Amino acid sequence: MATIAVPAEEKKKTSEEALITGAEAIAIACKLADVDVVTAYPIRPYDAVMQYMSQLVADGEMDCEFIVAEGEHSQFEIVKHASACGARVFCGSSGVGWMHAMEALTVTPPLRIPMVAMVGNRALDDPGAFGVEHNDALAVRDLGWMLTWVDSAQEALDTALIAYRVAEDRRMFVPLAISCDGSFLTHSQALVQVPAAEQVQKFLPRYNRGDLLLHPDNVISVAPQVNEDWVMEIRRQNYAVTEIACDVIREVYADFERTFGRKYGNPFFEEYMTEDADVVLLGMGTMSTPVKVAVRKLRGEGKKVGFVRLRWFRPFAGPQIAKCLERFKAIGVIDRDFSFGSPDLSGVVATEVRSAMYSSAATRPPVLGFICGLGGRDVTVPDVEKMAEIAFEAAKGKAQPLTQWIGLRG
Amino acid sequence: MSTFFEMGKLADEKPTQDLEAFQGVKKVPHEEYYTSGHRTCQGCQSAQIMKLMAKAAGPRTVVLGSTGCMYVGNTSYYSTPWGVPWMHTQLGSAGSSALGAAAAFRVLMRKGVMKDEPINVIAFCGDGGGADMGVSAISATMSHPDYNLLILLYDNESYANTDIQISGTSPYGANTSFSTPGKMKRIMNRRWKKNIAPLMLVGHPTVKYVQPPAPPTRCRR
Repeated sequence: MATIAVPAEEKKKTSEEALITGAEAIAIACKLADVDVVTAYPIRPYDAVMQYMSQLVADGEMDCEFIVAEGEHSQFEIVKHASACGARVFCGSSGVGWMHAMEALTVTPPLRIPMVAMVGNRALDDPGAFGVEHNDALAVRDLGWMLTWVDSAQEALDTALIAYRVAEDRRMFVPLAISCDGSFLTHSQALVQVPAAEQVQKFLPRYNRGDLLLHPDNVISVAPQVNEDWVMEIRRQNYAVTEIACDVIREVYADFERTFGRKYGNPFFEEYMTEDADVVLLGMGTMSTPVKVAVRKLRGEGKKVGFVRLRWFRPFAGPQIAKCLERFKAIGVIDRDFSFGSPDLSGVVATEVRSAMYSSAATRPPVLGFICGLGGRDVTVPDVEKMAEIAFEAAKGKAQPLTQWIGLRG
Repeated sequence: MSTFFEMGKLADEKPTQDLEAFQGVKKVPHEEYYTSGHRTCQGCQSAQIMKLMAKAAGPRTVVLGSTGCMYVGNTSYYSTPWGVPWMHTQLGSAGSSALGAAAAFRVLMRKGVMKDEPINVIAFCGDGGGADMGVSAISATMSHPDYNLLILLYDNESYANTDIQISGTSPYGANTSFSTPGKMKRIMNRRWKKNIAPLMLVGHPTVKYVQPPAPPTRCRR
């Protein structure tokens, strides 16, 4: 949860308040960031960001090449090459649209292309669905993309600005996807402090590709055949990015706070009422709203429960997360995704949390996996209360199933 | 082997480069922008096309090369034959990669970040990448009136780099490893050659120039 630390008079000069959706917040961030090339293709729910951006371009509020592609594969290929030629780019998709772009998404990190993309998280359909599920963005988790989940329009705008700083840092030069829960964040309005353009210019220097720029003045051949001679070393270079990614993210958040006065504290996860909690729930995205409501309700009943909201999924701040979680008696991970056939049949986040705990935690509290809220189904306050109850049972030492589906019919 | 070119419409504000026409074969300049450093088969006509294309385009050029013989048999690290900047792109991405490069140059020049000059943006593909997988991307790119770019499709009527399989431009009856004659089926490829050049010309109102093969020459390998 962001707290505004800027004195009131200064706040008036440097930002203005707007009632906007998550999608519009990101469109405004791209305008403030003076993005150069944007490619659009319609798929719900992310495409609201492109509709807002189209209007900004048509009204002369934003100067960029706004290209409507004929498919998501081309959409992401176009901005990939535009970025190679020095342009700051923005793109996005949802659900199976994101999957249609998969070939392009796969090669973007090894090419060291700092693309910022918005994923309007949507169920992979068939079965036909428009609602939120996290598997679309998660599909690139092994490939070198940075992945972050935001839960408010303010955080969406701020993270988009942070994303360009992080991605375009020469030590990084990898793509970054900002996930906004479909409909719940992309299409719901909230009050947002929109920073002034001058402030953003201070925070975001121009994208400089340096000696990697594809331009007649720089005769280079990009992405030759390397085969078994060099693939491993090139992958190792992407690995080197992940080794410093957490440090770069911390640096940028600190600079964000200095420039805009909005303090996010620990960039990687937010802790809510965890100080003296016995059990915690952990999740990503807009489930934070019902979870926090349930946590307050349970606290009112004397039950010591807290919530950890993961912001950054890649890089996964494993040791830090383990250090945070090891003090609790049980952890309930709420996965708004599925990972069929995984160890313990849990969702993606639970599997990763368990892995981090195994490596870095001093204790071994039960980590329970919950699958909830798929296909746009609400994570309800009673659902959360049920998950907390199960976690409390586990904390008492009563063994619980490692994976449970919550909110299922029948 | 037949070859042909397609060119996007001239942008309203941006002129193309003013390149001197070659005044006869003895006056062709000696500068090579595609030189040794590839490992194509001896006599490869696709490589010959690359050499001539690069020579005609000159140094103020950026080339996007989609997967195929002209990628795999050409740029093997540590060597490259390209004397102009070159970037690999995906098999079906000749159209989209050209569009991305052209769009970047256009906006960066407009914003005063990059020196304003006409840059040749040329993307190449084979018939596999261009007439099959990449048709939609090329078609979309051909519909844009704002960007100067050239898509060069070298048509050897097959997917050649994978040791010859039929593509949409393979002739009727072609014997390839995906269209093998057998005891029951003497002819597996009963598809007629796709007429890709007129498809691009007739279907896209702003395409300025398409060169179909004229006259077609066949290469027996």
